[in-house]
Amino acid sequence: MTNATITPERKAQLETPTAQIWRRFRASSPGKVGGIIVLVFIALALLAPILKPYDAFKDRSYRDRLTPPSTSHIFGTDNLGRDVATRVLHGSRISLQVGLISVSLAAVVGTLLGLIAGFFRGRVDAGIDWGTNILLAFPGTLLAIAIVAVRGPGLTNTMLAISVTQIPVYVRIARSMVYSLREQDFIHAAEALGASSWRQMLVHVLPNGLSPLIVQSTLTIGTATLEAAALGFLGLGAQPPVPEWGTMIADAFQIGVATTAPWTMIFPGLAILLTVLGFNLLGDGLRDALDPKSQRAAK
Amino acid sequence: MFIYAMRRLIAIVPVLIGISILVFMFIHLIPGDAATILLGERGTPERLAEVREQLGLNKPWVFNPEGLTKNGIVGFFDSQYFNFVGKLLQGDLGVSLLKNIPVKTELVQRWPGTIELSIGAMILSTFLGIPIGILAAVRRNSIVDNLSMTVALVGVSMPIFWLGLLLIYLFAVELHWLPPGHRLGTDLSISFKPITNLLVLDGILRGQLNVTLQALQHLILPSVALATIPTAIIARMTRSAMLETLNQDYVRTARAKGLSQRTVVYKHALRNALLPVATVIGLQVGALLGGAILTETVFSWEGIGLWIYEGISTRDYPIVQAGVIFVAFVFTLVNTIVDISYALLDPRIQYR
Repeated sequence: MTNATITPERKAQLETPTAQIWRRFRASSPGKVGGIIVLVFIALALLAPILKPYDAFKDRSYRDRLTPPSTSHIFGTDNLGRDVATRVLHGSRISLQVGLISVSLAAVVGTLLGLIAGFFRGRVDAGIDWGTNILLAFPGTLLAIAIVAVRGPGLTNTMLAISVTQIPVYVRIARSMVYSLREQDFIHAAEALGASSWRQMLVHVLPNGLSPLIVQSTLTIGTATLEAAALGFLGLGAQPPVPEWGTMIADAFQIGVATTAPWTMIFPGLAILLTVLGFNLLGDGLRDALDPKSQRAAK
Repeated sequence: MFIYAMRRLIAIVPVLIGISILVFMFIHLIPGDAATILLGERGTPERLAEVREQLGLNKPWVFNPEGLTKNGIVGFFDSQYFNFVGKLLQGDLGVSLLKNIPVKTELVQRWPGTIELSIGAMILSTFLGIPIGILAAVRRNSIVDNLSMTVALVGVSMPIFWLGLLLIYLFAVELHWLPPGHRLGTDLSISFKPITNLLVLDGILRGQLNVTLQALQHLILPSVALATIPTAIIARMTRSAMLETLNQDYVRTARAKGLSQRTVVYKHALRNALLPVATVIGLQVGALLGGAILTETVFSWEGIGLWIYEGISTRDYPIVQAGVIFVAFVFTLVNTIVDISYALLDPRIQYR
């Protein structure tokens, strides 16, 4: 007997699931590029307080207002003489915060609602489905705008509004997860052993359906970043002087320097684009790795 | 088939009721009611009470048990919510708090602006997205494929208000090729009397081709900005639908018969790939309504999105309320119609 006959298929069977996922992820070029962008983004967000050449809020120099990019201010300065590069750098902290908090909130609430709908069916399901359909009846941006318009502008309400608009997706995913798993033998076994509905949901169903939820969360961080920027741009998100990227562009746009001193809007916008792109690529890569059966949907 | 369509249309009624409840709740969660906003600083308690009486703000929110004893069952529903819905059903959207004109009048003026912009964006994204998708699928894994799919991915990650500003900066401020905003230049927007408010069309109807030309020039940049995301989505969808049909047995048969690549791609593969693509295009029509708020704000485009934005910034809530309800209604209707037509067009789908 020799070991030389190990075929690639056999090798794949020998791999642990984690190793398999990691191998598929490394094989996915969008995943790698996205992963690097996201890592750089997180590193910058974490290091921003240390890396600051200037203070993002206070360092103003009226003499240096609206100066184009130069060696001392690589992204130029804004209308109050603040360093655009520093503000963009600090914006990554806000963007990361918005992305993580709003998506976690939406994922937890949405998944729970979806699990409940799938498990209890009947009226509960119909009621949750009705609520989901109502939320889906609004274009996402419009719903977020309406919520913030009612509750007042600001970062907290921005996060709240964004997570409300994202709840329906998670409800749908979790609900279909329950529907596909609930007739499986291991769920019946758990039930036969006397596991309560909640235990079945959280201990047996949820861990087996995590992949699409993880993929979706990554993709929705991108969407959340875009929506936060959109609200900021409309003056409804984070309020000045907070260096939120959309708010920075709004600042430049409102006082009419967006097109005369374009660096005030180009760099924050570029930061938004790169961040969203990074999370979208990472989401695609994770889907290749975690959920190879699902077709890469043209979202 | 007809029954299926009717059932789908009836199914949106509960959603519409939900929309009305949600929007009603929104408006009532706003601190300070309409009377306070209307009177501002000058509001004496007596005057406030008077205005509240006029606006019906002193009635109960949902049900009116007092009215039940006075006026029977009709009185029971004499509440703020049911009066609001009743007026909605009659097409009465209320009166603007600041401008003191019926909201409906403005809605009718503003809506064509959004339609014109959406048509522009749809034309662009369909005529760009489908060919790009076909090309990418036919030359799978080539440079063309990788490049166009990378561009499409950048497209869906794009903050469109930022793209709009970049377009203005480049084509209006630097190159002076196109106007930076509004639907017409100042001279014409004062002198021209529109008919339908679809300005491109109105110029032709009135025989003033200079108006049509100018309206088209103003339409280009906002349409490009608004079309970016749909173009990317349509291109990706066309590509994946084409890849699927190109792998089908009947395509292989067609190739085996010796048909030219052109015939195989366009007659056999594309026709069968178009159905999911058409659905995605339909769904983008609804999605454009969301993007319109941002695009219209950037380009000062006098449509419904800018109208809602102005309503929010001036706290003119009847406008916000009407705008949001209207957009949600159109959005729901369009998406349902797309769903129904998908089922009608695809013989494989069973309607239940």
